[in-house]
Amino acid sequence: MSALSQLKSVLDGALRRNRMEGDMDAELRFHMAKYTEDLINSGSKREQAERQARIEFGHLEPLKEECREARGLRLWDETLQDLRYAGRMLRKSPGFAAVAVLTLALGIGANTSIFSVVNAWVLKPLPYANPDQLVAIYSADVKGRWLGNTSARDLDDWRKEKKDVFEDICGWLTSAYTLENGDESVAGARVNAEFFRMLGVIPQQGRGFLRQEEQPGAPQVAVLSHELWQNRFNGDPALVGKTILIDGVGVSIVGIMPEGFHLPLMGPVKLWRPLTLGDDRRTRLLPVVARMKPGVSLARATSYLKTVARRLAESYPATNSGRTVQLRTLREEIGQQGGSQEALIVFWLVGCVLLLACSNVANLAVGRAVGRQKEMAVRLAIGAGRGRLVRQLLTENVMLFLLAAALSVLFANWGVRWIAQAIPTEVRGYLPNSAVLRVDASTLLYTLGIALATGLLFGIAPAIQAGRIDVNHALKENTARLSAGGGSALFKKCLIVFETSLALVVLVAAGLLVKGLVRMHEKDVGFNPNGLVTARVELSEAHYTDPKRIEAFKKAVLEQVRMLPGIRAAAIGNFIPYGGNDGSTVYSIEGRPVPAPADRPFTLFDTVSPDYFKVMGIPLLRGRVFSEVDRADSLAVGIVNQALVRRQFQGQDPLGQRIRWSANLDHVVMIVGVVKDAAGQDDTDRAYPQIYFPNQQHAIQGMTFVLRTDSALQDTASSVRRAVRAVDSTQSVLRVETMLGLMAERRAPYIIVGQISSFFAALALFLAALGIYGIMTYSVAARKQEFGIRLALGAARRDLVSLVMRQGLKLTVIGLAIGLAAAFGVTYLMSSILYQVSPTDAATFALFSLVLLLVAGLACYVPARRASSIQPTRALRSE
Amino acid sequence: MGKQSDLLQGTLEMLILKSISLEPMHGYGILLRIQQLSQDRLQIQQGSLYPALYRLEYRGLIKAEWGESENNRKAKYYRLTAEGRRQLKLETENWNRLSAGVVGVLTAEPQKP
Repeated sequence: MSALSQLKSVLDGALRRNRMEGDMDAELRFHMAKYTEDLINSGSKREQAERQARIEFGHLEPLKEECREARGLRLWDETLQDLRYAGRMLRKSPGFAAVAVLTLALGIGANTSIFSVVNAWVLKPLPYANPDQLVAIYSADVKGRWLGNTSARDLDDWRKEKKDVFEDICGWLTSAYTLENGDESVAGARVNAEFFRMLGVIPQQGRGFLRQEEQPGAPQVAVLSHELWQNRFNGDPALVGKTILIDGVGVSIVGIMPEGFHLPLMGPVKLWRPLTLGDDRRTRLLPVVARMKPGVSLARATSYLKTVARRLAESYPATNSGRTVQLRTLREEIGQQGGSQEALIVFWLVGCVLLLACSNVANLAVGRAVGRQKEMAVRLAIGAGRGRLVRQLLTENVMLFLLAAALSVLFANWGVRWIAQAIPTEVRGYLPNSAVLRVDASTLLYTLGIALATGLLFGIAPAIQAGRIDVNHALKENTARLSAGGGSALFKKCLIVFETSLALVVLVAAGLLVKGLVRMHEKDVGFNPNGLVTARVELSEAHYTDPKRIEAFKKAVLEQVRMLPGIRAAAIGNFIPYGGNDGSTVYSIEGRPVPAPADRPFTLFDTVSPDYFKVMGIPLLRGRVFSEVDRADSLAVGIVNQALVRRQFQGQDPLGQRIRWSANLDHVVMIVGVVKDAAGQDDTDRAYPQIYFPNQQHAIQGMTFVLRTDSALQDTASSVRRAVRAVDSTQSVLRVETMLGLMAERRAPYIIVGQISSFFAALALFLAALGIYGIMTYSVAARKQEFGIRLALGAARRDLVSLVMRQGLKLTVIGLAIGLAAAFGVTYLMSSILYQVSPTDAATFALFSLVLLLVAGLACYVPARRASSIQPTRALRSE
Repeated sequence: MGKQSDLLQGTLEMLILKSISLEPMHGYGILLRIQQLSQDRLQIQQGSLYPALYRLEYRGLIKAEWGESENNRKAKYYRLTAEGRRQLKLETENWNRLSAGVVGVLTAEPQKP
């Protein structure tokens, strides 16, 4: 009520000022008239009465001013006045204004654009109902060495034991589907019936799945993404209820999800179908997400499900002994996989850049304030309050920052657009809120917030400084003598130290990231990625269960593909490097004691066609590669990589050794060859132990064709699709991509972060150099007379150069020391996004300390030279 | 022409609230009413009323409206808001307590130990 009346009063005064003034005037005149009348009525003469009324009222103007103040208008008036004055001051020094606004706009714009990313990926809640109740559930070993997917039977048992802890528990299996229209297959997933309900997202049209649709033999149904509906079915408004052919089978569409709906853990899935849980407790393929009941904590849910897992381990020791579960909040899981780490680190780096920009502007402001001491002194002398002066200077500063904020929106827009286009489409499917990556209202609010906060923070020191001047002294002295005031000199020294340390942090962080990028480009990936095209095919589970059929399909397609013009060689792998999926298994060496289940080592594995190594360009180091001799009924063989040899066969001959593998170690292969390590099993490119099995001995429905070709990607893509169709018209190719394209996708986070941070590091270096140069130039100018005297007394010009240099470099070195300590802290946090570079890489730390020292030296040297070229006579005369 | 002392300023505001508590009044009327009720013991400078009135309006304790005065001239009339009425009650109580206390102290007979 009271606040409202105050606001109304101020707004009235601000917006309807003329009317308010008129009202006030009329009211006072009415009072005077009435008083005069009363005086006349009590016997005074008119003239005399008017005179007395005027005397008793006193001067009207001070009274009115008091009234305005009473209405809360004075602050408003003065702020307006300050703003107008600030505008005039900035127009009077357009150079200062332009440099300051541009510097700040770059700093603020950088922050705004990175904030948009952080906002979308880290701050914004996941776009599901009550996202805090959602958790990812992993099967894990009791020793906590790994987390993984879950078997169908385990999931089924969990779902039966939801009790009052879980609302819903859902698993899924991603796969590719071939639709009746278009020859590119679509990434889809089979999900438990409650999947959409669990996330709390209601289909935009139609419905989600029903419980009975999970049952084997239930009618075939599917839910489409908004995107698929628009692109493949032209947004057909009557699509729901229609039947379409999926993998050659009629499936009725029961729902369409709203635009942008996706679960980042699932990837870019566009079609969902009900999941029928099979009878398998051995194969663990299902990722699982669950919703906890309201009020249930993560700890309680975890301990409850662990009890369930323990019970299962007792009941089914063959498959479940040594196994338990791990729960993580969905938010944490998506954050970890979805670039929030990267976004946060860049966010801190651009924060440093903004601080640098602010420091420079603060320095400029101090310089200007010193130049304006006379003006301030005069204003103090004629009665302005010191507080009033400080407020005036603050207003000027904040106005500068607000101008910069307005300009920064432009930069921020560019920045966000650049980041959005730099993220490969496939990668976007794994990012939360990826559809809303833009500068929105909350981002603008943030921009305004940081502009105001930094404007006040960095304006307060120069303003207070200016408010403290000694009027008498300032009015008497000439301007040149005023400059080197003690307080402002200390402030400037601190600025040099501060800027140097900030710049070093940014430089070292960016340096490590860039060093990683260089390593990445120089990295020998262990195969030849150039001219390699990959085509992923996942055979539909219903059509291909018989290993012979799978084998026949692979053979037939290979034959077709090899005949295509432009294809020089073709082979098949499954978990190819940079393909984004991998298979791993526990294993043991025949003839050695078998470790307990929880201690068995892991290895990656893949199943490949005989000439896979030749086509990929993976060199054979020992033994032989697979050939047609290795048939389903011949001796089971395997080829291992160097990493596995290093781990298991130091000083031994691996050839002829036997390896047991699979969950229960019930498969055996004999090692017939050793190949070079191939990178790309994960985005760190580190070499992991790996075993290859021949296709013929292990039929798997997933496969990736690798092709050596000189043709354009599009031509290859369409001819490969035709070849697959020719073999089986119900199957199609999921995705065709060059190996270089796949590599770029997996490495995208490193590349984007590296590019952004090297840009900002350059900016930081530039700002720091500018800042140091500015401060040193200023300090030299202020000490002109001192230098003149020194020269007159016989100092060599060389001495003056070294005097100034020593002063500047001493501060720089202090800054470097602080910066090094800070950088150690920052880079430690970065270790997870560094590509094969240690976060304490000594070379990088040393290099950038040196670079900064050199740049600072140069920034000091130029003013130092100027100091030494002073003409002593002129400098002394200018007193 | 200087400002009133702080005590007086607060007191003046209380007196204004009291004098318009019965009916809306214009500024001059308020001044006359205070003089009349205090039997001319309180003299208020002609203009000094207005900053106080504006302050009260700013605080939402009173509301102003233009109306016709006795001889058909336009005048600005002030009336209490609900908030103002509460404030008046509060201040009156405070004042009574304060003055009773002061009177108590001043009229106390020195007692022998």
